[in-house]
Amino acid sequence: MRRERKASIGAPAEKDLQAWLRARDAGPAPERLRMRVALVAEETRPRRIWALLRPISAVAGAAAAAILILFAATLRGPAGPLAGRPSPTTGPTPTASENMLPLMPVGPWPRTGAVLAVPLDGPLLAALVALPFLAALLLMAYLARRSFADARRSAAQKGAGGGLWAIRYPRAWILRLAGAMLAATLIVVGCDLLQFSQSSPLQYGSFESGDPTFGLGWRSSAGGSDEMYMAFIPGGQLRATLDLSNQGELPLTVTSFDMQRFRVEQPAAAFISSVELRLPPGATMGGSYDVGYYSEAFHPFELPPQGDTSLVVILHLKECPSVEPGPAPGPDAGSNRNYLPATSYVTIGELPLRYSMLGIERETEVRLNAAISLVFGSNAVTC
Amino acid sequence: MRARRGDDRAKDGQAVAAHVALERGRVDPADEFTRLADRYLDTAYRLASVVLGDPTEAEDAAHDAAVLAWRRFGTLHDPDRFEQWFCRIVLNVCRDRLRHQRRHPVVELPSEDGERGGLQAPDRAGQLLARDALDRAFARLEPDHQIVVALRFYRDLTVDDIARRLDIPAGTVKSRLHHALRRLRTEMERQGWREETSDEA
Repeated sequence: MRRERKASIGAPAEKDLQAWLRARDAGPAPERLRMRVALVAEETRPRRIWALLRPISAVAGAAAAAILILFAATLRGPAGPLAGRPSPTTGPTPTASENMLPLMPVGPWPRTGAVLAVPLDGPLLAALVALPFLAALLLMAYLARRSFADARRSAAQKGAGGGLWAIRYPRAWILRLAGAMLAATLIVVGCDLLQFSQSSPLQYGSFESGDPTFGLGWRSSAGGSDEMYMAFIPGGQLRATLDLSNQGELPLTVTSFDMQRFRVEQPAAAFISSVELRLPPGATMGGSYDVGYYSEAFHPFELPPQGDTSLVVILHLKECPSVEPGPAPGPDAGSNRNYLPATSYVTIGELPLRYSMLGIERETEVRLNAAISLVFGSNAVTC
Repeated sequence: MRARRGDDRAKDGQAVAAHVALERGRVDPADEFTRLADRYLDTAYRLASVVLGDPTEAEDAAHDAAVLAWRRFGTLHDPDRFEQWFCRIVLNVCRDRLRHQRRHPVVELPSEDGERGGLQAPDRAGQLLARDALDRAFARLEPDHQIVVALRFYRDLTVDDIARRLDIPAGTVKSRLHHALRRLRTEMERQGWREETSDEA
């Protein structure tokens, strides 16, 4: 007799299959597993402080984003803060640089010719550029929290992105699309503003004049800017008057001359012991070719929007015993328009100034309408 | 019977109250999740152990499922459906683990009694051999088929219940059951087992 083994398969043997499956049942969950599972939520429990901070920061982020968009839209519009060309200077009639167009450190805003009125460097720039990104994220969380309870819980657990994507709603794509578009808009606006980080409302005006005592002559360069040549006098003083203009829509205060930056960035600083600025007497705005007119020592002064004023820059020259004095000016030095020095010279093209606007201290280099060149008596160029 | 209905209503009321409290933010989601997970952990672990056939694997699967469930807890609209939802996650984790096991099979050493087929065995030993054969046959099923068989024959769920739990059509459940049982039968036969008992003179 041969007995076939009975298989526990098939409709008549379902009980066997059930028995076999139940034999695989490991019983109640071990305590170790229970403890591990209890820790799952504990380890990722969101901080309660966020429950309070998130709505507040979301509102703040939304407000910041709205301000930024409004700000950018205002600048873009034809009624932007600096739409159109800069207003004419109120100073004396320019002489050497009368036909020179102002040089902008950055390109003007398309179509309107406006440049940015508010400085966008330092903390303000960081805030204006970084806030949109933060605002976009917070807004997404805000949308998610406001709209759906499940997404709200997800937002509490995983943050903004998780909350938004956890929305289970037939029209969730609308929110996602809106969130993505908002984020993209803010990023574009932020990046657009970033390129204006070097813009500055403080520019030279259209008035500049050299000290006639040591003036040798002028020369127009092919690049469009002039050079004003003055003889180097060891231990002497060279004076030049120039016009400063606030081309922005907000008042600014010129606070100081940045001598440290001047020494670093201007080669001619090696021949100059100090730089002194003098202002017109009293609160007088405007200016004069006469360097003696500027009787007042420098003090911080305010430039109103679209306003300008003149000041005199006094360069205190070093002795520089190894450097021969520059040539004495001829009788026709004032009208010597195509003067070309026969010996070496160094040039000062920019004046570093500090100013404050909206309480924010900034540095800028005012590019001179006509660079000041110190002409030596020989080709020696070391002090 | 009335009392039981009253208990059910009370439980429903508690569940609704808990749900409302959760929605209104009075209940911490982490506390709520921990409570629910602990309540249904036994069910999930036992189901995982049946599907995977290994308590250690089941423990890891249950833990992984709990982590996933917590991450997705925000997507659970109705806390009353936590058990089904959690078990579905457990089964998905089990399926992934089974697939991983298939890609990285463990080589089993041959047993000491040599070839199983053709051996006479006492009843007790026969049962053990039958279970061993079922283990082998079950392990050869597709992970989806294993899950369906476990839900059908271990949890005693109907086809419709399984379909709801796995969020698949009932026809798919029937199809998987059919193919799973046929494959089990084939595998058992391949190992020398027959469905019918026959005595030959």
